[in-house]
Amino acid sequence: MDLIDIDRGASVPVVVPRVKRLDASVAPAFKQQVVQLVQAGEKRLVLDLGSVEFLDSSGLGALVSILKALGAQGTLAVCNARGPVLSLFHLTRMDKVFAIDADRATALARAGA
Amino acid sequence: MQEAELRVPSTLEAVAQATQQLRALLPDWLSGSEADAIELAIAEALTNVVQHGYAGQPGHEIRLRVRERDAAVEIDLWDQGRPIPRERLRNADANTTFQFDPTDLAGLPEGGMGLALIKSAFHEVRYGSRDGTNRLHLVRRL
Repeated sequence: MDLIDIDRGASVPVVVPRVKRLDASVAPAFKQQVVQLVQAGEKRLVLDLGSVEFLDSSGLGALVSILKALGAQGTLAVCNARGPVLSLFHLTRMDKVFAIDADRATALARAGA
Repeated sequence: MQEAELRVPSTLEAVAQATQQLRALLPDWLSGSEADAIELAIAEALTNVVQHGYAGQPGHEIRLRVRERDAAVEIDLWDQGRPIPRERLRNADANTTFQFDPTDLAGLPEGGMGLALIKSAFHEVRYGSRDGTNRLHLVRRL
């Protein structure tokens, strides 16, 4: 099952989860699908969380794995995190790790698109 | 006093469903963000039981009870899986679990955050095992 849509309208691909809940039941497959993009050569990604209503620690762990796959030279710009999804970033201090932008245009600019 | 009980099969799909059902059972006096934190904590607790307690095996069950008292919501989970190691529960704390170095990419945690999230959502967290049944008792007061 495809868990992500990829918008290639800009020079940096935008990954959009197709699930409303990014939880333990989908986190491993979600991680695998995004890491495949990285392995295919993408060094910069935008992740648009606008459609995600619920994120648990497994989903957050998957985002950390993606960040590690991109490595120090890569860029991951997260955008549109809201409500409980944004709260989890703050609560776990992962807002210090991920660049979180309010909208997609800002995230694309951050990623150098 | 309101009381409701759910029986959750030991699959991650069932956990997602039960977590959303639980959300609808929470009292109105909780703020949106408090209810969010509780929903997350219960997802973490159920996921822990499925993945670690029951080692990912389907065919088991977790019993979940929500009770509303005067100015508190009490949530109990019962399971018959492998118990949470006492040390892990004791050491889990939002003040230590999330004190990683944000600049150390390789050292960032990809897991092990669930118990700290459970503890940070409730005023009271008690855990015990008797006759092969584990009970996680959680209380959130007004």
